[in-house]
Amino acid sequence: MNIIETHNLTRRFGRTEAVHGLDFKLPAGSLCALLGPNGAGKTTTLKLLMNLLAPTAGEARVLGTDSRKLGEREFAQIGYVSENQQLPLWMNVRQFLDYCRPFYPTWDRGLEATLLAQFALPENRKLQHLSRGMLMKAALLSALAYRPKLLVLDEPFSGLDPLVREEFVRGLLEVSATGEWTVLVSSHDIEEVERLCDRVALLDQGRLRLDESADGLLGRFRRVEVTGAAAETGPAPGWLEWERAGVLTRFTDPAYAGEATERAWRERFPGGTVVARPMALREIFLTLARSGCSETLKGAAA
Amino acid sequence: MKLIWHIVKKDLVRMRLPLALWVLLMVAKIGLGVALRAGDGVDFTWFGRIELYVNLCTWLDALMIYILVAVLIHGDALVGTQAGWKTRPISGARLLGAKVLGTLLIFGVLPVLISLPWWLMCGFGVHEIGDAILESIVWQALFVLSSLALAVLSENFSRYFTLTLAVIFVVAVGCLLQVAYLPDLGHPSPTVQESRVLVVLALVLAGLVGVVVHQFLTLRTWRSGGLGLAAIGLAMVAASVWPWDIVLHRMGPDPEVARGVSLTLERPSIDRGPNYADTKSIHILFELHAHGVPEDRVLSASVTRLSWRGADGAWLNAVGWTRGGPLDLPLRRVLQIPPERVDEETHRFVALRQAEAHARDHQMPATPPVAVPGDAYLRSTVTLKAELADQLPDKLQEGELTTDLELDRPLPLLDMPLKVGLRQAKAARSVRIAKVDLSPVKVWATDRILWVVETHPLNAARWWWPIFRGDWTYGIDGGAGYWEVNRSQGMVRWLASMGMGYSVAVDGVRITWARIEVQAPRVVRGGKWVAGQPDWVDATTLALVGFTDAVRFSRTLKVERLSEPPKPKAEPAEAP
Repeated sequence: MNIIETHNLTRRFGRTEAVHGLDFKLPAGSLCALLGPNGAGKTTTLKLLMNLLAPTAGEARVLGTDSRKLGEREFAQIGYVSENQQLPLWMNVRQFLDYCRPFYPTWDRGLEATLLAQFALPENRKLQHLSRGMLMKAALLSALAYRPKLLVLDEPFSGLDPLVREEFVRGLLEVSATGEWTVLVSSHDIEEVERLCDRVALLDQGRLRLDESADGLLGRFRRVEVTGAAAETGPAPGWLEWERAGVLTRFTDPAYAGEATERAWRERFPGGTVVARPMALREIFLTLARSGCSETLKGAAA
Repeated sequence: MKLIWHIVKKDLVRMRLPLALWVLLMVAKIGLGVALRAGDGVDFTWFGRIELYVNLCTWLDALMIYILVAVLIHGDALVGTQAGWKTRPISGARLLGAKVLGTLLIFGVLPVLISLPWWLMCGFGVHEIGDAILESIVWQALFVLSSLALAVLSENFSRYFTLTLAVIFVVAVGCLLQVAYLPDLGHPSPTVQESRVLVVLALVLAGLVGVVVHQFLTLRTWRSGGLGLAAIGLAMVAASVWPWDIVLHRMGPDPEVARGVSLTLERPSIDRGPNYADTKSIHILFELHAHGVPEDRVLSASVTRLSWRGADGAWLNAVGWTRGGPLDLPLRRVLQIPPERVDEETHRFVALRQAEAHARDHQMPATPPVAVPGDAYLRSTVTLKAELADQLPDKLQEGELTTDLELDRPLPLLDMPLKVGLRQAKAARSVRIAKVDLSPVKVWATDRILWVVETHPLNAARWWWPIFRGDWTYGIDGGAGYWEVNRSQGMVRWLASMGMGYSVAVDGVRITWARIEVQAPRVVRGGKWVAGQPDWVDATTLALVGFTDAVRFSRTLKVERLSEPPKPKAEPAEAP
């Protein structure tokens, strides 16, 4: 069952198309990272999914319901945390949780207490006096305590210092271990996302460039270094970031498929020494961003 | 409902500081009222200063309402994508319910609770408190509803303020355009004009409510704003072109007590008046004679509606005013005042002087004295533009004159001896004689000046409700008035309306400091006025008389061609 499904989801702001014909599916139980450079349309996509914005065209279904018709029943099963979300800053943490609780029939006071202790949130401090990290944790707590089926996080790491970020991710991971939910998180912070997510979607200029499992993505990208290859040998179609410096040739192969691919490299660079290493998600993201995420990428991946 | 109340509680806690400030403001205003009520009744400079503070509080009150509404709504903003409630299990309908409940509690219940001790202190009964609550709610609603409509369309206070300025600008431009391009069409009758007022009010009200409800339920800001603009536009068009009289119950069948009352038209004529050249207007005068007025009732007249058809078939519709109606006889009955002791020499002298003065000032004969129980003379004046003056007698052939009338029963409220410091109260009206001075006029140094501090219900609803009820009469003063009563002389003399003087309204209570001149009885001896009763102060009381059992009806008379005004009479003979 897909928790989120979009069909041709499009949103324009005047002449600017923030999201273009997005077709996206998020199966239940996934932890999906929505990646993309600034202005790629990540936040707009999440706002469309949360019915904070109306689509210009297409549709989105969240928990089986048209996003335009999301109501109290659906939102009782959705947790949404965004860096831009307005929180009642005049409340203290305890008042904030007390205010949120009655709206959720599934609110788990035990989980609330556990998370409160885990996140080390000062109950009597007003939200406006919390650090940014603490504030995000308070928001996360209020979105987790009712065990939502879908957790949507929009740039949750933005502005957090490394220590707080670590705490935040650890908190998320600990909670993830206890619940069965689907998570969609948009972020620039690829290292943190890599630890969290089992699925990656990449948006660029409002278009979905890739959408696959993290393992699959990490598995098919290799950074290859060839020493001593013939100078006239050029890149194969689909290879990215091809560069040559003296006897050293470097490129990224986005379609690594084990022994067969390695054999193909050796055949292409006879006499050369080929060394390939797996890439981190951050490297893959940067490679794709620098390469303009060409459509051929998908073809190569396929 | 539990969750609605949960949201309301959150809002009340969040707004506690501005609410406390607002409560302080309201309490301060009532404090000023208490100070005025206890004041010395003489220092009008001090009164003016306190009045200024009261007015300042009133404006600050309106400003606070404007701000509080924004705080209430923007706490869970309906515009934008950042409001937290939008991704919580809170529907627009539930939020609307919470905000409506919050609005009622804050702007309806809270001011009433604060004002209640003040009303009780001023002697208000259940009926007056009900009226005051209604007034309080209407006053708050004026600002709250318009502020709500602006707040639901804005995300934060700066946009709220900008939107307010924009709407004021649009409405002002719209009004200018309406005046320029949509003048009153169809020469509507007064009743249609009244209907237009009601239609415009209804459209504006519906527009404001529509904007708020639509925005909460759909969150479509542009469409909600469009709805509001459409309502304003429609209201402006309706103000010019609405053709129907929608007040269905206007002056129904005659009430029993009014069936015997009839009117006859004595003298329709044109009066160019002494200032004709300056005012460029003429007055059409109708002398009316009422018959069959019940002896215990006062006949008051107010609006005259004149519909005239010209020779060319065109109609002229105009509204005028009627004055008159004697109170003397029924008042004597309820105050148990014996017939006046008539001093023949004085009576002759006064009658002659009055006739002289009237002829000199108005070029018209004096109003005939009212002496017959059941009769009343009324004078109706319809004012028209001067350019019609020469055309009227020729062009206007026949028409109808409809006069709104009201029969009231005098209701004695207070009857106070002229003693300093005495306070009497009845039917939510309280009067204190703060000071009694000798008259500063040396000729009549035996007269007295009374400095009176009074409170009575503002009771604005009394004026407005009949409009919606449909049998309203303009301008008939149903309020109470002061009379000087001297039973030993059989004298009753009108002094002043209650509320006339330095007056200010504080939360449904009108506080007035009045200066009332009471005259000593005097008689004419040998062509000179002399004191008529040495111990008159002890024999005189200040009576406060109101009206009750109002019965409204109208009478229509046929009007034929006008006559030119009668020439001024010859100079009256020398007075003895």
